[in-house]
Amino acid sequence: MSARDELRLAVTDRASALADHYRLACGIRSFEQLLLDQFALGRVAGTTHTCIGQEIAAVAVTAALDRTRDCVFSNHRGHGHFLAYCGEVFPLLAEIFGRPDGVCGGRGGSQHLHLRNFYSNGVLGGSVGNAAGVAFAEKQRRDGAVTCAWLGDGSFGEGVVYETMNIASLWRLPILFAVEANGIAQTTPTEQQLAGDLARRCDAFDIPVEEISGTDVMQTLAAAAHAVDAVRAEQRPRCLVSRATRLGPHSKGDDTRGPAQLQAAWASDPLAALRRQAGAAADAIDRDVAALMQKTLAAALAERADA
Amino acid sequence: MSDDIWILRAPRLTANDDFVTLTRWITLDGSSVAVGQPIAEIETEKATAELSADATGTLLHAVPAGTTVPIGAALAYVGNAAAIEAARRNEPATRAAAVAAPAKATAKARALAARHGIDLADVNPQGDTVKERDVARYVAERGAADIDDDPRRELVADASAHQLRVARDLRSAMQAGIFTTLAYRLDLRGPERMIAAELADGRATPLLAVLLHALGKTLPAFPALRSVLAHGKIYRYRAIDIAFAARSPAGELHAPVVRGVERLSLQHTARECARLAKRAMRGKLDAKDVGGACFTVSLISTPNVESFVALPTPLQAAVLALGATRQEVEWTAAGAAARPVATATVTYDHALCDGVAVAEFCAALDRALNPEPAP
Amino acid sequence: MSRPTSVLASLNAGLRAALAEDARVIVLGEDLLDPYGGAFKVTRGLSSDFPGRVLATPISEAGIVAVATGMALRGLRPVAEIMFGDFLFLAGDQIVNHAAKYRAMFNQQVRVPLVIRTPMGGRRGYGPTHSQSLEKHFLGVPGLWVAAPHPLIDPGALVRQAIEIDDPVLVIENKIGYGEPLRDEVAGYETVRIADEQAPFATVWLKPHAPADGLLLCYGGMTPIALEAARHLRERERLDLGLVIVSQLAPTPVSHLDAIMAGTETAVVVTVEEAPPEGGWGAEIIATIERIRDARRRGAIAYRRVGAKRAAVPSARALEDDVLPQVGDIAAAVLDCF
Repeated sequence: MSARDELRLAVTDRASALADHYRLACGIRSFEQLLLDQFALGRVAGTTHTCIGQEIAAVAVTAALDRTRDCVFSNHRGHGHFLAYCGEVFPLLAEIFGRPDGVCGGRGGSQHLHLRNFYSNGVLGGSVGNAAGVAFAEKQRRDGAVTCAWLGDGSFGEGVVYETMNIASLWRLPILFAVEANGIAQTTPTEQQLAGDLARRCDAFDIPVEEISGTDVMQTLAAAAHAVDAVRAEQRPRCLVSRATRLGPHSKGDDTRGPAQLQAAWASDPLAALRRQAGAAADAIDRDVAALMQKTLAAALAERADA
Repeated sequence: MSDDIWILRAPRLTANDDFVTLTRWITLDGSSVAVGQPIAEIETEKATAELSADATGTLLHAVPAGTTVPIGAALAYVGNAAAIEAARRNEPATRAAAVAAPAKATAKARALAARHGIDLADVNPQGDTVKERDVARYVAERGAADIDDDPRRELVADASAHQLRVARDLRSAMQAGIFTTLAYRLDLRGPERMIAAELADGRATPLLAVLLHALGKTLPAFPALRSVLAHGKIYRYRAIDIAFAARSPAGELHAPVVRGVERLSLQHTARECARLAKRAMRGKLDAKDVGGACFTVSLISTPNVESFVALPTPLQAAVLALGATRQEVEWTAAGAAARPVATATVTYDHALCDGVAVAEFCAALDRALNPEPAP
Repeated sequence: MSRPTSVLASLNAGLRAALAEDARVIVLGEDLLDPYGGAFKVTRGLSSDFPGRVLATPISEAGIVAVATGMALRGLRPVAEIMFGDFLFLAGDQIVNHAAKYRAMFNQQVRVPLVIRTPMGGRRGYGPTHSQSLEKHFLGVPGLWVAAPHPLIDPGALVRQAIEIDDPVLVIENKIGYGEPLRDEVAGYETVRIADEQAPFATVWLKPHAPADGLLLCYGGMTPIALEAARHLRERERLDLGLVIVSQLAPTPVSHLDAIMAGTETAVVVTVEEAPPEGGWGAEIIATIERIRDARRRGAIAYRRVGAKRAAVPSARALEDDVLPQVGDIAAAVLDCF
């Protein structure tokens, strides 16, 4: 049992060094890649949605939060958000493997996670509304908590998202809409999915919005910190739209983009850039992360020794 | 004036009601109506409506108020009088089809009644609707419950062929005629004297033989009692063959026939009775011993049996049943005197003769049994 | 304060008491604020007396229930009103995939003490999309309670009971039923109330003084009609029926039905609902009773379901009356068993 306690990644905050951010982001990347391998090997059933290529925003925005009181609502593609929030690698892998020592006892699986103030639900858009309700409750408590609701550009097809933005703005709820615009929803490019401009939708609800590239961790962290602080201080919603590229498939094997497109995407992989920024420590970090993943996998594959 | 007539037909008011009741005529029969004028009120289980004329002319009611008709049936006619009469003659029998509203009984009640051949109109419901339990109660009270189901009865045996034949014959006789019964008190002094006289000569003569002998003298004068009504025709027996009821020790009923009774002496009659009775006891009656009788007699001499009514035999007009001999006190000028009597019942087909004729027959029989003593 | 005399007054009083006694209670929905006080006036007076705790929302059924679910996750006790039960499906995903599921899929780590109140039912000529009884589609959703008040219980107490439960409860009110006067008992019957830990929302069992010829089961808005049908059958057909008025629609109150079956020798069971019976509440009740009958080795029971015709509820009153179940339909169904 104590060995498993060590199977976690160190989370980061506003004061962390680049190398620490890199370790966390690298850990997320490795986890997701390991997961796809396990599916390919037939060791896991069901489905999963990896966030390969989108690690920067997860790490940066989460680092801007106050983990002692802030809440996070994520969606189907939530492993990065979850690991950035709490770093619990083994419980997450165990959950996806359906083990009773997983985050939710094997009942929730990849898309339905809950730990401390982190919640996720796999039905697109609905969790955003729940996040607004959580923000209301926290506002009532007057503890200054901010609720971060993760949503992708595809989520902006769901009506409940607009209902939520309307209510959140009307009621001045302390919620941050953290949008990961990766340009694709399942297999449909955003331009075939959304009319008009995504960020301009926030204007309609009187929600201040900032668009950032999302590829540089420090830049993203700064923008996120600014947004989180504003939400906390002003007690009204804000939106942060970060651009990123989903490098993996939607779930497994359902990537309809052509090889040239994918190659170009990989060429500008923001994690590679962050690795360079991490400098000399990068190699050691890679090895540590790899070892962690191996141990975690071994533990997840092991028989349940204890209840 | 146009000969066109417009027919008001019962409309469909709701999806589930196939009948409509004309509750009230708003406009009188024979009065003039104009287009749009209300003429009748109708009703179904779930809806009511007012019907108006679609034509101008004379109104003639097709059905009286309160009638329930199927959808599409004619309720009224509007037009000139002559044309309407013609249309009414041509209208199919929907008027006759103005059926009564379905009797209020549940489906289970109908099914149970059908199984027992019961007319629901005979069943008194508890409440507005005849329910299965009402029918069941009716059946139980009548005692006509399903034979096999009732634990109060146990199956004993199959009925014998003889029993079934007797039952069949009796049933068919009952259904063939309209039977009723007349009771007559016969004076048995004459028979007693005859029997005593025969006994003095060493011959045992049963009362049955005396009765048959007397019938042989009486029946010729009463042709109606020797007839049969069938297929609208009257047939008369040529001979006076009389059957008598004989019961074997096993309880089987037989009806051997003494033929040509009117030609036989009392002694011969007695010998025939004895011969036939013996054969009946042994179950040895053959074809010529039975059948074709024009009359039947039956005697029950068990003491205290005052009278009984016998069931008619097929193809016979009447049957005479004689009860036990009893002593009766008669008051005469000379004082009280006892004399033997017995009650005879004659069950006869009223389609062939009436009670007065049968009474006369009985009086004649009584005289035949009690001839004036020789001076 | 005098005791409320109508269903509506009782609901209002119950919400008022809940707001007063539990600071975690929030009431939210469309047009709830005074002076309007809600489309059916259930919340009248509450926003004035509890400012900040009675919230008017935009017309966003999904958003309302989503936000209420989030509130419940964090320990508040929200009571969300959906103006017409016909609109419930707009919030269907939130009810079924969010509120009802969080507790189980998060492995019992959270609770969602959410109450959703909504009026169902027709008989006001409101037309096909404002007259339905859709609660049957929410029966059997794991994690979701469904309850329905009626005039023979305390509706306000039922709502408070729902608020106390730590799981989502869908409270089905009735548009016509709001005006019904409350009663503790009905002449000619002994009133038995059954509630237990497995099924906390009480069932009312009206036992006739004579031995019952059969059982009539109903809930919510059909209660007055069922009572009228029972009266008609007693007076005109000499049939004495026991009436079972259920207030817990889901999970099925098996223990209540078992207790009733233990206490009666009925061979006729007729269920009454305002929705079309196909795939509905009556079917569930009959399956449950049949299972109980079999376990208790009792004789055969004749079952009938009374409900609406399988059609959209028409707007014209006469047409609506033809589609929705009436006293005559109940009487005919009962008689058909005799």
